[in-house]
Amino acid sequence: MRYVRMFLIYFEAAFQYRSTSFVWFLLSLINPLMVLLFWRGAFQSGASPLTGWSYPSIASYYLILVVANTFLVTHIENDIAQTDIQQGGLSSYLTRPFSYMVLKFCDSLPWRLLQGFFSLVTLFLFIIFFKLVLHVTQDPVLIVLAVVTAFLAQLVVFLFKMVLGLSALWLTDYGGLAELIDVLFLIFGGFIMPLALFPGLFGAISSQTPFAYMVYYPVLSILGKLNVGQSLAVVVGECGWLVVFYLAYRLMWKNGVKKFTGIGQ
Amino acid sequence: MKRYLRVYRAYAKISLQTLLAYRGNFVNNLISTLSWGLFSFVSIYLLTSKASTVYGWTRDELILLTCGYQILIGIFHTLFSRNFERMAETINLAQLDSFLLKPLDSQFVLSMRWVNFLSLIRIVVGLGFSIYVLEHSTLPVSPWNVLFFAFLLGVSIILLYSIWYVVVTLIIWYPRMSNVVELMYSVSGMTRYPGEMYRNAMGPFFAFMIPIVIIMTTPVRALLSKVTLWDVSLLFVLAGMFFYASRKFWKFALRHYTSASS
Repeated sequence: MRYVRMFLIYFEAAFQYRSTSFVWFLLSLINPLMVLLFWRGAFQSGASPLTGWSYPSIASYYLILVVANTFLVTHIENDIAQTDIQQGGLSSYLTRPFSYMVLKFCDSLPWRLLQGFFSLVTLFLFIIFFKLVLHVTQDPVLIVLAVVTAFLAQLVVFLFKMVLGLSALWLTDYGGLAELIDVLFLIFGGFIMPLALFPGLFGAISSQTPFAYMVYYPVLSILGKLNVGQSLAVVVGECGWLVVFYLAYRLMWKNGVKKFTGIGQ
Repeated sequence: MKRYLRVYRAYAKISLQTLLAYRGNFVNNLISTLSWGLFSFVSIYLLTSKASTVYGWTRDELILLTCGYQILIGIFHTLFSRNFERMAETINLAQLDSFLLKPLDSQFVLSMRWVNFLSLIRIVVGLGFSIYVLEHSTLPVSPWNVLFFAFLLGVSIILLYSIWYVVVTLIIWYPRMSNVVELMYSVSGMTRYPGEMYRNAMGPFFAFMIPIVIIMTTPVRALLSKVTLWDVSLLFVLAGMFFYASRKFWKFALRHYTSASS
């Protein structure tokens, strides 16, 4: 119950910054839309550039990608690294009778819900004004697996970002690492194009990185591009990455807190 | 004018000394610059691996557009973008007073006090890829095209600077939207795609995109000997208009600025 109350407090704080949240949402909208427009031109030239994808299905891919990105991908790492670690705010969390990880989850969830709301409204407007037909799965079993995949993906992203944020306990300035991760996420998260279409070895590697499990596979699952066996394999993969990142978090937290000094807090 | 040049030289010297003094920061910014620099090329190579002609632009022309974008954004990030980030923070934290009290033009001080030398790497990367593409393609590029491209790129930078300045000035009324600078990075990224892409999709709303679209498309068209007098005139007119508007808007905004006991 106390964590529900914490969530409501954080939701109130996030709602105060709804205009800031809306600008962050626009950021997540621009890149996929630009790439979608690019493919529109490619399809209009008469060719079928993407094997196994028509223009309506690739449009569905990018629009669902925007929605999934806003709901699933948290950006808590900057808060952890800068506000908590570098500015010493972590001290106040260490004295509270709450799990730091759970508090941070309660902190990040309202922002996901708020931006997710903006993305759903945008999706709705796209469907109305551009008369788009979304190509999503209708199979009840695949829908359930898609929901499970999306839920696990959010946990994978959250734990990964917690690990990334805690790296600031060792790195004086973690900004460069954060930007490198952002770039890798854009490439291997399927934001340029579906990973299955990447050429040769690049494609094989990209589908095995943790980034693929964060947004790309949940999107494919919602679109019905994965059968039951493939969806279960994704769920197993996500569970595997959850274990890896959770162990990394525990190790970093145990050793990192010993190093931490918060002056004047 | 001479005074401003002396001040700018001092700012550049301080920026370089700061960059070299903090080695961790140096490595950090180097990784960041290289990451984003390579991202543009990776994405265009991946996109054009599946579509060799898009909106009338061939693969080589699209890659050249990305190279041109790298050079433009490298210059812009070197001279201006870090200043806009700090300007947003300065306004949000009501620290603008110290800048307004200086015996220098506030727009100059706020937008030019920091030079990010590491972003020169993006210019080098852009130039390197451009030379590679031109050597391995049949694109007709002469030295006069290159000079004309460089000249128009300078005009484009003025237009991009002015658009950024107008948008960041809005923070004086809406301090909570200080993340609008991050949005402008994405908006600037829209210039690396062909203008026809937006005209096709946006219909009558394309008019609002014209200033963004022509920033990169016009200089690259000049490089490929495809530019028209209308394209060049439009770029000049918009750059002049937006620069004038940025000055006027900034002066107007300062009348509405309220500091917080600084």
